[in-house]
Amino acid sequence: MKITAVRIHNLASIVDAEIDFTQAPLKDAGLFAITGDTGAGKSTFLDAICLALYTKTARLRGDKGNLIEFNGDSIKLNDARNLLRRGTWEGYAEVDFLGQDKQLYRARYTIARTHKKVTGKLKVAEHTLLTLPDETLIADKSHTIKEVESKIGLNFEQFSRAVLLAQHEFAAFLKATGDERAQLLECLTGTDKFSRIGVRIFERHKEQIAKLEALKAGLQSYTLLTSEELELQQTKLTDLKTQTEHTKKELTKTEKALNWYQQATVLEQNLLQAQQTQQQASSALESITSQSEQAKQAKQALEIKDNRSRFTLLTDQNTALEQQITSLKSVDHLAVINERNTALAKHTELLNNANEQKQNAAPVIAKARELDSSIALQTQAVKGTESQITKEQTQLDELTQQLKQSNNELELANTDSTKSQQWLNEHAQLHVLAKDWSYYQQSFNTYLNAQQQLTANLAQSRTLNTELAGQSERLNIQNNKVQQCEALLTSEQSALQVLNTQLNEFNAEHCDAQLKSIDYLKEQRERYKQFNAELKQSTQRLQVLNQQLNESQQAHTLLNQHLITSEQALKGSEYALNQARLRASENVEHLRTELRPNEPCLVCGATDHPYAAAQNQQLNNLIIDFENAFNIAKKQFDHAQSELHKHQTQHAVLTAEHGQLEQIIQTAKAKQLDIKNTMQGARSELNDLTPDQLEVTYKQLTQQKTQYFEQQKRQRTLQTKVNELLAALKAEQQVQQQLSNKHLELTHHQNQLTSKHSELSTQINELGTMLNSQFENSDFWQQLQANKLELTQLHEHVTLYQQTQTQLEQSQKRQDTANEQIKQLTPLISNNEQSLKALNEELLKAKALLNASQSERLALFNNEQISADDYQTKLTSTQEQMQSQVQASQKAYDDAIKQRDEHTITLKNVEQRLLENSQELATLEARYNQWFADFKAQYSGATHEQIKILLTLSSETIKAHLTQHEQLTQALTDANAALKQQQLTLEKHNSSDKPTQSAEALSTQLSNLNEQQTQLQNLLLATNTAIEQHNQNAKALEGKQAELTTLKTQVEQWHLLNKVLGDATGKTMRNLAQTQTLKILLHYANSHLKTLNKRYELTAIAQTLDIAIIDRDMADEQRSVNTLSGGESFLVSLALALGLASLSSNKVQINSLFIDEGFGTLDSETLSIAMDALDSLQAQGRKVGVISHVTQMSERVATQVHVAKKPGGYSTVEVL
Amino acid sequence: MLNPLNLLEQAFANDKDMAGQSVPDELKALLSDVINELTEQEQL
Repeated sequence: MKITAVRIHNLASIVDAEIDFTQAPLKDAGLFAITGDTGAGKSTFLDAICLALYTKTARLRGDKGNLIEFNGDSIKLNDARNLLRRGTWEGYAEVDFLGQDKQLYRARYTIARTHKKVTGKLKVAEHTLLTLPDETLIADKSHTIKEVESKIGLNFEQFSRAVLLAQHEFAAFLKATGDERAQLLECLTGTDKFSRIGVRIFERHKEQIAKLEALKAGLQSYTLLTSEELELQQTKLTDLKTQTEHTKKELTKTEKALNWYQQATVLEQNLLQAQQTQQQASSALESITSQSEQAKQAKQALEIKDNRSRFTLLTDQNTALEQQITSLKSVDHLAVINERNTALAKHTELLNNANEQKQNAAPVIAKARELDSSIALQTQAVKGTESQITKEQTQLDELTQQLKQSNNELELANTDSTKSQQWLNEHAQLHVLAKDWSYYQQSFNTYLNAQQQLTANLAQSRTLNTELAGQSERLNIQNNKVQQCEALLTSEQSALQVLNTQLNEFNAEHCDAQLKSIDYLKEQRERYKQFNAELKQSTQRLQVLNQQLNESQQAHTLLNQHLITSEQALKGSEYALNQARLRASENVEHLRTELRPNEPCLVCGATDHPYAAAQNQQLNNLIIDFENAFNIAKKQFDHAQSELHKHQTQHAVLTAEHGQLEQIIQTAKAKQLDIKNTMQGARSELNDLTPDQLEVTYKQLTQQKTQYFEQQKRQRTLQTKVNELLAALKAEQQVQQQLSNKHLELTHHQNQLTSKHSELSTQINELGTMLNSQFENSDFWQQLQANKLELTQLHEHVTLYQQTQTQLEQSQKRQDTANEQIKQLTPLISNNEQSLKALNEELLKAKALLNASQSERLALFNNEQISADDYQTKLTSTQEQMQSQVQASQKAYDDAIKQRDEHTITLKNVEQRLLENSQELATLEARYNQWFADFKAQYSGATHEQIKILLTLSSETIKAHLTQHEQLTQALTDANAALKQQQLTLEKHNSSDKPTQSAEALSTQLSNLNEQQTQLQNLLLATNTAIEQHNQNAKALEGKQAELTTLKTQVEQWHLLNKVLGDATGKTMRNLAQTQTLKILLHYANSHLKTLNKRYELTAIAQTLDIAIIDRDMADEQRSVNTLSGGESFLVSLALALGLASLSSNKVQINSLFIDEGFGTLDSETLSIAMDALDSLQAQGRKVGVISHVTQMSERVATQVHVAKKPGGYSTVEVL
Repeated sequence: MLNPLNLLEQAFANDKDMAGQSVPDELKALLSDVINELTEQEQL
């Protein structure tokens, strides 16, 4: 941004001034000064720049919005229109500048008064923005400021910090709040993205919370069954399924039984239907008997049908042939031929006449054509003249009408003008008001409003006084209430304190511990006793077992011995038996006894044993004895072995039981020991007490605890009461506070009303004086004051007056216009009348000539109105008609000759055919007579008439009748069979599985069962649905819970991020970012400050946007910027302004800097340093303007804009 | 220096509840997400 020119017209003390920075010497000067005496108008230049760009100035910013009187206008103190030079009606400030887009613009702020008069009222200021050099308007009114801000890249506040340092505004950035600094830095560095990031973080955090809340709300809609409920539902489901199955079976059974009845009904119906079908078939067969008989005869008669048909045909033919012969013979061909010959001759003559007539008419037609052309031309001429006359006549009528209208208008305008003038004269009082009504209306309005307000104010004040008195009374009552509440609360609190002390003294935990210890002790003692009894019992059983084991051991030894003895006896018996058998095998006799018939011998193998004899009986008896002894010994051995095994089993059982008992005894001993140890470890005085003593102690402790609980309950009741009293006291105090506030408010309101009353009185007096001076003798003013006239009525009168004035002006204008029109119309009408006369004469002549030509033309065709072409066509048509008649007559004559010849030949042919037919008829009649004789022999009553009737029947009809008879016969057979079948089926059905219940009972049962089934199905569905719903909800909840957990984690993360960076306006992030920017700015500012003042250095305080000063001369002590002197503040601010300019990014390029005053606070040495610093800025392409009345500085800067104060209250501007 | 992630770390260091803690990666990812979103909307 760079300012290229500033123009001022009639602002403050400057009448006209222009500073063009593109012209020498300012073009080449980086640093220039605006000099002049105090009050000359130096600062007006800076005001003009601000006005042109932003419609406000830095100097007026501090003023309040109070109204002041400004040359007849009531405007606000900080209204920029105050700057309009006194005694002028227009002024403006204009600035040309280079925008951020490198385009030249012109901003202009114009102040003007109405009617271009010094006494006129101030108009609303105009603010415009144009592009240069084409001066195209791109914005006006309120849009201009926004447009200027976008072109420059700075708003007014930022502009006044970085570009224009007005008087007393140097230290504004230095002493600005952190937030203001952050805003300016953000704008200058183009780092507003950080604010957006902060805002977005805040929004995202908010979105996540909303999402979480929605999810939580969604989760509440999922309900689950408890495990008991679910189990109950599942049991119910199983029961219902069983019941449903049972009902289904019952239903099937009932349906089956009911079906039996339904089937029986169907079968009965079928039987009835079969009976009906059989009857119908029988009736149908009977009804067609005669028809069938006739069909049979007709079938026989078909043999003679061709004979009879041919006979009839030939008879008919003969009749027709005889008629034809008669007809042919009746025609007179000779007379016809003669008649047609006569007609032909007549038509030939007529044709000749027509040819002759056509030939004679040719010259007449040519003459007629010539006359037709002439008449057409004459008619056209007449029409042209008539059209011209009509046009002229229309024009004349229009002009006459206009003239008449103008005369009327003139007359009306004269009347209106007279009326308006008369009305205005009558209401001359309103003339002054109508001239400047808006001003007077406002004055009247203000006056009347002030009066109304004053009246209302008085009424309000009275009401307020009454209300205030009531309020005071209520406040006193409330104060008493509060005191009572406080007293009651104090007493209750004391009681509560006593109770609390008592409760605190009682150790409830210790009491509980004692009770628990007693319980535990009793329980352990009981357990110890149980173990002791168990141990005793086990020991006794063990002793018994030991005895049994000893006995078992002895028995085992005996059994072993018995087994050994039995084994020895067995072995002995076996040996004796073997020896006996061996002895027996050595004896032949024995071998012989062994021989068996057909079995081989043990010695020779022969199967025949002739010498086998009786056995040795003694030996055999001996062997048998040995065998018996062996068997007995073996049984004894087996028995002994079995006994030993049985005993071993019993012994093992005893041993196992012994082991178990030993284990039990050890466990019981261990547990007893454990109880002893535990009791020893937690030993207290309670352990020494006997069970009875323990019981007494337990009862005492229980009683103490009950008392404690009762006290606690009382304490809670008391506490509740105290809380209630506190709440009541608070409520009463709030009411008291509210009443007090209300009292204060009312008092304040009353003060305001008093103040307002005096203001309104003053205003009424001032306005009344002013209006009285103007309208003392006016009726309307007196009526207004007396409330006899409303301001709106006066407004209507004034408006009417203004309208009448306007009407008068309009009437005068209308008079002028009408006179002018009359003057123009009069010569035009005269010219028009003359030309109309000439045209009428010309028309008469043309019409006479046309009439003569038309008479001659009419005479040519015997006064017949016919065209030449039509006449020629008519003759040709007549000729052609005659020609065709001749041709027709010739054809008729030839036809008559030809017909005569054809009739002769036809007659011969017909006579021949008649003869042939007669012969054939005789043959046919003979054949028929023979057949009829045969037929009559078969059907005695047959007649020829009957035969004729039979022959009328077609073969299809006969066939159909016979087929029908056959079908009906078959149908009857089928119906009989079906009837029999249905009877059998019904009998069979009735004899099988007839239900015991009636059909009605079964229907009722079925209905009940169906209803029961439906109810069960509904219950089943409901139960199933509940379980399914539970399962689905459980599944969904599982998924949702996971989602909820994830979302919670995300929300926590967003919360953390939002906590450190986010907020709704982006302030946190912006301030954080601008804290860094501020460090850079201070770096730049410090580099400038080093050249201006080596003592100080700027520094940011920690991680904030606050600035402090490091004083090098005071051991780098940090102190507030507010401790700097005026001169030091100026230097530091200058360094900051230069730093801000250096900091400007690509977004805002600042190439201009204006500094208003501040140099007066510097000593000469510091001033020189400051000037050097400013001088060095021109090297950076920046233009710096300083405003000062300091002589030293004026001398130092070569290029100057000098503002000289002249007598008469104005100043001149000169570039030096 | 004026990097949003650096500012996040700075903010962490400034916050009394989180001073001395390093910025969790999840927070950095969220901040990057916001930056990407605004970049896509051409607001940065």
